[in-house]
Amino acid sequence: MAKEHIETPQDALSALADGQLRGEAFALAVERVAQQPEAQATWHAYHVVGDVLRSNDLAFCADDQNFLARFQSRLALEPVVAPVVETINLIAVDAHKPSVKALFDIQDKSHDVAANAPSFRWKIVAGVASFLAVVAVGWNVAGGLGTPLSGQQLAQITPAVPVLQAQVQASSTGTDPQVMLRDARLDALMAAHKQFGGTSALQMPAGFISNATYEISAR
Amino acid sequence: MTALPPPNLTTPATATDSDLMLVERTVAGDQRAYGLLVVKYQRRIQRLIGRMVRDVDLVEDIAQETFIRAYRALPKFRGDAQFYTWLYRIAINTAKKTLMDFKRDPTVSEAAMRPSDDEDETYYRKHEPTSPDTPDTVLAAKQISNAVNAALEALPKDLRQAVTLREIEGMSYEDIAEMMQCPIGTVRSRIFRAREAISARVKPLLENQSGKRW
Repeated sequence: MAKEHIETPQDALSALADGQLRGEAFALAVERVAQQPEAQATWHAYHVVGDVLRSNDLAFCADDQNFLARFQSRLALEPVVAPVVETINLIAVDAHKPSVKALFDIQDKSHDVAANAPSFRWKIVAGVASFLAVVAVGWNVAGGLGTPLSGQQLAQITPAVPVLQAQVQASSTGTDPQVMLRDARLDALMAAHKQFGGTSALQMPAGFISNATYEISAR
Repeated sequence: MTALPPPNLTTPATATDSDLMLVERTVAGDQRAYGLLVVKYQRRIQRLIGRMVRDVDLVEDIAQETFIRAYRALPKFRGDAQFYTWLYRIAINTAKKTLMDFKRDPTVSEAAMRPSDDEDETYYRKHEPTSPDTPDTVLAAKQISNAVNAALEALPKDLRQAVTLREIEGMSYEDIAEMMQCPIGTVRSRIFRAREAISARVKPLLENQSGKRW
């Protein structure tokens, strides 16, 4: 790669073919091939040799020169390619509204209105909906955070729907924290129909039906 | 015992750097740099298309169109893949489109031609079903092939080894220098002298093929 190794222009072409040239040496070699027919022939021959050494099939190159000449004439009709950069569109300056920022407009796709681009109208709708949701939640929270009703207050609340007034008797033992709720009407019913509450198929009294308890540690 | 990886029978690694530099120079506005790439790859591209199309004239037309399309698309080439791999894809697509336009069926499907994106030319040799060669081109190709092989055999051992390691094995100058136990400058000189010796036999054959040069 160092320049001191390049002894002749032909050596430079060989190094160019192997990707060994950089910078000015590369530019000089390309310039030489582009301008000098002898260098073109050498460049061509080097690659034919390389191709044939790798594969005899690639010796098929009888029309190389015609092909290249024809291609050069076609290539000459092509516009010079340019590197891909952000497309810069020159915006016509409005004579009535001269504006500095209208001189160049770098076309950025982010400036285009996308199908899912946020719309101000929808922003308003979303804002109102959010506000209403916050108000509703706040209203419930404010009501729930008020002073809890005492037992007496709860007792004073008259139920809207009449319920069966059941006489409930609580009983508990000192050791058993269980509280048994007894329904007097159920007890009377069971007493009247005691024959049906006798020994069941399990050979056990079926009185447990009336002894359903609600287990609770304290009341 | 592990199998050795197959040798790179195509483009030496460092040559791809040269391709990229030529592309950059072309995109910078120098069309002539693209001509160097065309000279380098037009035989491979024509050979590739020749496996899909029997018509010799059509092969050349598609190859021309391939290089023109590649030229137009050069600004999009970012060097992620090798230039020839990129060019290969353009050639395949161009050939397919041309064949569809002509309502012809390709003689070979792409899948049968190329198993992957590598550049194993030997695979093509094994699976080559068609040839667009005429008797004249076959003769010319045979003459060139014989000249190259004869010149290679006539080279001194160190030159033959250097150019073989470079062109066939695809080794870098640094690796060749290490293998041959000589400075890189010596490797460069040996490869150059070998190329010159072989080219001296090939150039007359190439010049006889046509009068006009690009």
